[in-house]
Amino acid sequence: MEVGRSRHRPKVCPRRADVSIREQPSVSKREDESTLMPICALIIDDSSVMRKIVERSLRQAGINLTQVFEAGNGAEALALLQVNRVDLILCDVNMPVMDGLEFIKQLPGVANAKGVPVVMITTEGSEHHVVQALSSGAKGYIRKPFTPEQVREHVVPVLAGKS
Amino acid sequence: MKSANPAFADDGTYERWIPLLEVAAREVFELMLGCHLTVPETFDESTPEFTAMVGMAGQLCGVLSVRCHSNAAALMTSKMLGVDLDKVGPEVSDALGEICNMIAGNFKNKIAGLAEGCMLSPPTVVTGNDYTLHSLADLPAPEIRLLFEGLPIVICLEVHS
Repeated sequence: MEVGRSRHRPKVCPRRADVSIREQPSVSKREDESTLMPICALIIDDSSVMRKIVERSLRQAGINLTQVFEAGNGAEALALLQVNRVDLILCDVNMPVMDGLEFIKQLPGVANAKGVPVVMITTEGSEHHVVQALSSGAKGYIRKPFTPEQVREHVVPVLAGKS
Repeated sequence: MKSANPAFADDGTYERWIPLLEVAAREVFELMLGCHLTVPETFDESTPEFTAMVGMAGQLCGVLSVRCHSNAAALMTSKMLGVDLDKVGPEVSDALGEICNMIAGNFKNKIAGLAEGCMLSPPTVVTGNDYTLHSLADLPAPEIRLLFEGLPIVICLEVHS
């Protein structure tokens, strides 16, 4: 299983909170900046094809990705986050070893991941799953199949701190 | 046949799912691959080399399968990943499995109660065409035959009542 392209080269990305803002921007301006501001993302899915599709959709959505880490399940993601910092996490729900909901529950225990927004991307579309994910700490929920526009609709507000 | 499951009462409910399955498949191809599936006038009856399957368990038990030839599977992968067709490699099976998984998920999300009451298995993909698939399905297994960029694909829902 491929786990993080930069697994052996730990790198600290500039945290979004470190970026000083001289004037208080409007909401739309903040959202625009969210797409322009370079971010590091972690994509968690047991399908390598789906991880590539999510990355491609993020880029097509206008998200400025400087680096993308990949993990095949929640446990690999937690290990990756011990040595890497990211700005955004996109996570599948149904995965082997550790599913997405368990990953979210354990995420607060990782110092590097504090305050990092998580958006779930899954075929599970039931209200129960959505409520469970959001109550566990997810900031957004995208159902497969999805378009880059839908990814943008869910991710940009999260990056802008609206959710 | 009298079913213990009210979802399969003899009121045509099961038959009404078939158009929903086709819609679910069309949406996946349009949203994820940017392609419109078309209805064939004639259909290539040769046995496809790729079969992706997703099991369904709960209020609906059965198997959803997507079958296609290798050229269609490669083209789907190419369009999903946005890479040239000649760059497509072993990820074909993974891609076809994901398509099958998304069709199954999209289908069950369209039917009241199934989104929560039916679980999906991870996808399984069989390559080659010298095999026989046997499931415990005891209802007629309708096949939806469509064309993807002119290439035949078959979507089949085998249901156990």
